[in-house]
Amino acid sequence: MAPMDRSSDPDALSAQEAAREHVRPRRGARPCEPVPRPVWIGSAVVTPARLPDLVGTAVRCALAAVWLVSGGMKLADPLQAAVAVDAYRVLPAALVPVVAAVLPLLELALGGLLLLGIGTRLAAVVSAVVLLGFVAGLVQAWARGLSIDCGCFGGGGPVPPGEEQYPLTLLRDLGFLALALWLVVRPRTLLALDRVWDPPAGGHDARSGPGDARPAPVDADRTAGRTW
Amino acid sequence: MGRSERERRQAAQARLQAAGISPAKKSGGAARGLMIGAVVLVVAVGAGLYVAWQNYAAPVEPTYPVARDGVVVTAGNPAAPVTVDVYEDYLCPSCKQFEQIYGDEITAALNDGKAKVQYHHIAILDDRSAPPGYSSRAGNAALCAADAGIFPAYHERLYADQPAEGAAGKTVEELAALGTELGATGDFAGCVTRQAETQAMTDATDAAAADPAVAPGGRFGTPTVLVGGTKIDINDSGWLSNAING
Repeated sequence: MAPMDRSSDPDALSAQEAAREHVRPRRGARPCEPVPRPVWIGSAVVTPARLPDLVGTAVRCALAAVWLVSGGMKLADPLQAAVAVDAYRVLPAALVPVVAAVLPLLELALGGLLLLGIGTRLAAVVSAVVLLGFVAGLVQAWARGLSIDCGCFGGGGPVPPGEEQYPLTLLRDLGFLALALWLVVRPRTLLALDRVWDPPAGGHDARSGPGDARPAPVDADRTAGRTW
Repeated sequence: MGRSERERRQAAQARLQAAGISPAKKSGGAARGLMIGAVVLVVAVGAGLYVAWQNYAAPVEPTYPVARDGVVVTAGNPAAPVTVDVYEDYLCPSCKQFEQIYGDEITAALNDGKAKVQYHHIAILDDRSAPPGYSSRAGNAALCAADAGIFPAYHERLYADQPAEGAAGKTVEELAALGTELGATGDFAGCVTRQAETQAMTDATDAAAADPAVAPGGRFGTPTVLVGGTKIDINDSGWLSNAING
């Protein structure tokens, strides 16, 4: 360590602090800028600015769990997976086994990537596309009056009329879609390999989350530490 | 707004430079995550396609002999070394997928005389059509098709045209017309109309459900497949080649 006393040497500001000074100039016109107050979450103190990171981490792990469970259940019973795919009555018979073979592995891959936080934004984009496909399949089945179980987590196939769960299933899929979209917009999370490989530059963790209309005062952040 | 991303970046760079700060170089880590993620996804899809390709068997024209004894249709050479028993219901979606996935492989084995398949015609899903009874109706028609010399094609078409659960399914007239279309000989329409085997199918269904080899623990479902009298896991994609090659 350099034998330097920060408090007594104003020139010894770290680049990090200087950068923060710079990209968040005190314009005077923003007297209402909230002072970050520490928040207790578990035993760790986090500043409010890090809350989106925590939320994003939970979102990422939740979506990973969804994919791992659904992919695993389908992989355990391939014939049933084919029945579930066929029940949507969208694909020609020859393509049903192909989709039924690819889907479980794709789901497991997405789950694994999200769990480890590798290529989070890519995995989230693909997740959203796949989920949109599921939603479209459900909507067309509902509109055509097919009586099917979605087979989202294994099982699936035709069910006796009246035993469909379209509204509930659709709501659930849209919830999963929301998780994916969060990560598309804001892929930065904690405990992710992405973060190890691409550490945030200048300690600017305070990125705005989705729905935060405030113009992000962290332009410098966009050049470095961009997470995919 | 109105400024492009690039302009904003340049402005940010300029401000940082003005302050004498050199921003951290791009580590390339983001690209690494993207690359690994893309590779993993491509490999997963490729592995799925490979599995599907492994299960694929070239379509073959059935040339094997067919004989009927009550509700059991024996397909292939009766002297074939491997005996496969298949319990199917024509309304059962898993049976459709079973035929879709293994049908061509089975046909090839039957043509080559390596195995024979005893199709047990049962009906457990009669109440799943509206009006009820499609399973029995189709089963009767398939047994007639065995007599009329068109069982392989008729069997395949019944699955290809499988109605959704809760639908009416083909009527007696439509089942008869399908036989005519496939070249049925004799009084096929009369046989289909008589529906003579319904009671025998009901009895066979009860007998199968009571047979511990077919319904272990009293759980009987379709498709149930036995090789040499032992129930096998139809998710084991190598079940037929294992049976044939010992």
